[in-house]
Parts: sequence; C-alpha cells; structure tokens
Amino acid sequence: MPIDGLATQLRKGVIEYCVLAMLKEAPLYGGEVIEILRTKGQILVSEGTIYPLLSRMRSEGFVETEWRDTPAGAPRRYYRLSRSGQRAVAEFRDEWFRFRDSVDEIFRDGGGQR
Amino acid sequence: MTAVRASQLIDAYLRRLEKELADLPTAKRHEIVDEIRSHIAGERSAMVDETDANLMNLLDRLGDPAEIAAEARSGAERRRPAPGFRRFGTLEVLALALMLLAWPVGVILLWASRAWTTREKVLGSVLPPGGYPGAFLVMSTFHWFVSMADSGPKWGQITVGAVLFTVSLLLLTAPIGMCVYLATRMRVPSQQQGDVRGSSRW
Repeated sequence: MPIDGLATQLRKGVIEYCVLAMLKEAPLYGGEVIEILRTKGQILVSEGTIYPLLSRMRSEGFVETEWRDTPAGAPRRYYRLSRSGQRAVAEFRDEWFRFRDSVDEIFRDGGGQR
Repeated sequence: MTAVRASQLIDAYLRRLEKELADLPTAKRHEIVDEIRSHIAGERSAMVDETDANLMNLLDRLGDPAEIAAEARSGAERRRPAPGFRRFGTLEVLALALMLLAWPVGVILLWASRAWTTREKVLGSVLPPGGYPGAFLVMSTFHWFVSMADSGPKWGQITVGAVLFTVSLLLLTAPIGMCVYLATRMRVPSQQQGDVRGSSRW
C-alpha cells in the first residue's frame, strides 16, 4: 500500500472525532475549526472537506448549529457539541487510548518480536 | 491583482464545486457551497495583500472540489445503512400479534428479531408467560378457589373474590401492556424494514 494512501485512511477515521473534541471547549465556526487544525500539522489536508464533514455531523446529531452575528460582515454558522456528540467523543477517547497503547507497545517491542 | 480576476477565480472554483456536488440533495449542496463561499470571503477579508498567488493558495488549501464532493458523498453513503428508528417490520408486527394470541410462536419470533435487546426479549418472554391463552388457562382455575372459599367464613369469600378480581385484571392487562412496551422499544434497522430474512442475520 502506498504510504500516501495509508495516511489518508488513518486521517479519515479520526478527523471527525478531533473536530468533535475541539468543539468540547466552545462552539466554533468552520473557519476556526480549520485554523486550529492547521496548527496541528498533519491532520487536515484539504481544508474544504471540513464543511461536508461538519454538515454530516450535524445530520447525525453530533453537533448543533446556530447563526451568530459578526462585528463586520455576514453572520457565521457556529457548531456546538450535542449530548450524543459528547458521548461519541468520550467513546472515541477510550477506544483511541487503548488502540494507541497497543500499537505503541508492539512497536516498542520491536515489531512484536520479544 | 484586479478584482475582476479575483472574482473570476473564486467563481470558477465555486462553479466546479456546485457541479461536483450535483448529485447531492439540494439543501445539502447549498449548505456546503454557502459555507465554503463564506469561508473564502472571511479569508479574503483577513488577507493583507490580495494577490493572485495568495488567492490561489487559499483555493489550494481548500482542496479540489472533487475531493470535497467525495467527502460529502462518503457521508451520504455511510448514513444510509445507519439504523432507522422505531419502524415496523413484518416480523416484529407478527411477533407482537402472536405474543398475544399464539404465545409460543410469538416468543420464537420475538427472539428471531433483531429489533429488541436481550433484556427486552427476556422480559417479553416471561411477563406474562402465555399471552392471552395463558391468562385464560390461569383464570380457568379460579372456580376451584371460589368453591374452596365458599365453605369458609364470609370475610374469606370476600378476600378471595377481591384477590381473584385483581389477579384477573393483571392477567388481562399484562399481555397487551407488554405488547405496547415492546412496540415502543423496538428498533428495526431501516434497511431490513419489512424484510424477514434480514432479521435473522444476528
């Protein structure tokens, strides 16, 4: 498998939970979500894909949205974590730590060869 | 750079995006395009120097419209098989009806369905056992208690009468009550809705 495809696959599975986790602190608009992800390095490649992602999470009930006025310019759609979104983040967090620890352990032990 | 050139670049990008999203529901398409349009507007207003290159970098960072559309579609595909809620399937309707009228068959169908959790299936199987046939079977033994009480004192007859009345009431309401409970608890995956074969997959 080309390493490129590998990174894409890894990203796909986790990015929506990263976004949900970011919304735990405070409601954000799309541009802010992208801005934060931009500072986190390798997670986001095509910034525009955040919008269909946010839209899907809204349809799935993980986030709720509201329009807020901005001092200059058009109102912005803010995304806020819903209750089921909070549950999803908590579940992912547990699962992720277990998963990460297992992978780390295998790599520490030299590819599983003790 | 001229404003004409800038708006041409952005318009062309948004037109491509619209085209790539053409197969999505209108509301979804508008939502995504509007959000990206206002994202571009926000980024532009924050630009110190709006050059061709800066603008092209902005669109590059957003990514190929085809990629955005692929993300939008992957969501639509994933959502379709997700479970629908509280919809009736043939198997479930049959199970509930037969729970009342032909209890053993109803229980078998109850356990064959994936619409209920194990806990709900256990509850449905034991509360009450037998459905209405079971209830009538139990009630058919009541005359025996009555004839026993007949030979006793007056207060004994009244007590037995009251107890039997209460038990009858419970026996007559429990099956329909459990049926209503199960009906409110069932979750039939929308894909398997009305598909008995699909329901036996678990």
